[in-house]
Amino acid sequence: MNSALPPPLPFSPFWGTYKIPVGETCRWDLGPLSLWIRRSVGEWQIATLRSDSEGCDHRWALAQSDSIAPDAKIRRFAVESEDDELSLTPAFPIRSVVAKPAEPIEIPAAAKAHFFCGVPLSVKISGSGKGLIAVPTRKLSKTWFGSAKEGEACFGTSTRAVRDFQQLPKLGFRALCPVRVLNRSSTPLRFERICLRVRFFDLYHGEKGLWSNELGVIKEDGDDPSRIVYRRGAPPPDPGAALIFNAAQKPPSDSFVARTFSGIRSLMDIH
Amino acid sequence: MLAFEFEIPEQVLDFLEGAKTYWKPIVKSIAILVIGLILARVIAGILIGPWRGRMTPQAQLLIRKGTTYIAGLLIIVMIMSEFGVNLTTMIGAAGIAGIAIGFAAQTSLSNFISGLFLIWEKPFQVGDVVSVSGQKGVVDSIDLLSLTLRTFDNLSVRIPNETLVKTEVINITRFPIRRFDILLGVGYSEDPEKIIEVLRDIATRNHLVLDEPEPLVAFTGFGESQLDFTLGVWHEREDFVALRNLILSDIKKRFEAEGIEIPFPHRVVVRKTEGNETEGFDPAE
Repeated sequence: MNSALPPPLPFSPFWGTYKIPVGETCRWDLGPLSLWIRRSVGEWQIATLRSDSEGCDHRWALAQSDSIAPDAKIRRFAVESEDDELSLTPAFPIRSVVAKPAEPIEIPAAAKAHFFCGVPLSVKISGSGKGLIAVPTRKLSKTWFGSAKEGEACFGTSTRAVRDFQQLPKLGFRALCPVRVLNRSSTPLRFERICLRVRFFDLYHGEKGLWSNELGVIKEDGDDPSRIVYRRGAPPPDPGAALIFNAAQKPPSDSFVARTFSGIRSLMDIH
Repeated sequence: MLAFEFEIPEQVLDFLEGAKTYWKPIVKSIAILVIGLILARVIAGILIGPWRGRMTPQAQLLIRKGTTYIAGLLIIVMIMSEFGVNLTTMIGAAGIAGIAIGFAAQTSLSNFISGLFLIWEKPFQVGDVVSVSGQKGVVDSIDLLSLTLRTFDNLSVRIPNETLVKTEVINITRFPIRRFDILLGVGYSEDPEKIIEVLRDIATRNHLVLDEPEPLVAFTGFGESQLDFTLGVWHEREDFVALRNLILSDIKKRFEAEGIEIPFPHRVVVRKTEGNETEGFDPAE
């Protein structure tokens, strides 16, 4: 099996195209996710099992396997073609992601700040030229961004909101989203959580790992929500990063008003 | 030479005479009927067309039915005029008949007007899950006189619109998220702080519970034989049944694992025996 593997990408060797002949099974361990793919006559079988362990984000392995774990969830995909090639590509989750730092960060009035948020990725599996399934590498909690009457169903994740580029960990299953905040208002901006609308993100592959394009947040005085800018092109911290795929949707305009930040209402009123 | 003589029945002659007189109005009436009904559909289409995306199905239904009824009335009047019926007399008679029908059809009229209010107010739409006077189900159709509800055990319930205006209607699926409140009682010997911590942890670990809005955990009072707590968890409306099953089971298992007592009512049965001796025992023991 390994002889058929393409040259691995320098940072994330598990993404790529594989050949799995009929009757063989491969197993991938991608962070907390264990993934088995078996090629049978006329079908692909994909089995997943997720560990509850929090500390296995760096783990990854690829091996030939004889059997699928009995407690794994198996899905079968019928295909006409006898093609035995299969590709694993990174993909953003199907919903927006609300990233919440363990400790809120305060951005003083008339100040700038930048930090990096990690977005857990899904593994998009395509076989015989067809997209089969996208499996999240990490089980994300469900959350809601907005009021109880209207808002957006999102996935929730915690973020360390790392501020120093050098401190960024190399994680193959997360995309790093650079966030640049400009607080033009006369009150401090308290960053308690941020809604990352991943449908507007491109995905890049760089030296530090996988990146989304940069997100700019501009807060003015008044009750208006923050202004969001999805900057096009490779992220500034890794300008040589190569584009993997374009955003599923384009933002309504280059700069549009959206409720993205959430903080203490009394301080900034941009919940 | 043979000659045949036969007599045509008088009824046939009358019929032929009548046909000779009425064939023109009959043909005209059929044309009025066909063209009128087609026009009614076209007009309804023109009225709905530009707002099809923004108009609710109920409003569309109202316009379609309204156009059909008005067209039907006009068609009847025109056909009667073709047959030489005096319309002035008819209008007079219709006025008297209208009063009589109005008295007879008070309920229907009330339902009709209530239906208009419901379409205007839009308290629910087709596909919403509502609860009306204890009946829960999916709104199947909203008509001018009644609403049809499909209950979860697949019964069709017709509720008059007047009832909907008069009684409390709960729209269960109006908002995308809901809170599920669980009332719990634990033994008096338990530490309330520990219970709050455990309940919060149960909510956090359940993947169907939303992180935001945060779950509500409250120590609500001192019961007869238990400390009362409320756990309120927010969820997406589609997850309600799955969440209810999962979280109640989570609570039971976790309380058992933590050794937290869930008190239940104890009943003492007094058994009377001969000689007025009494014996009490607790069936739970």
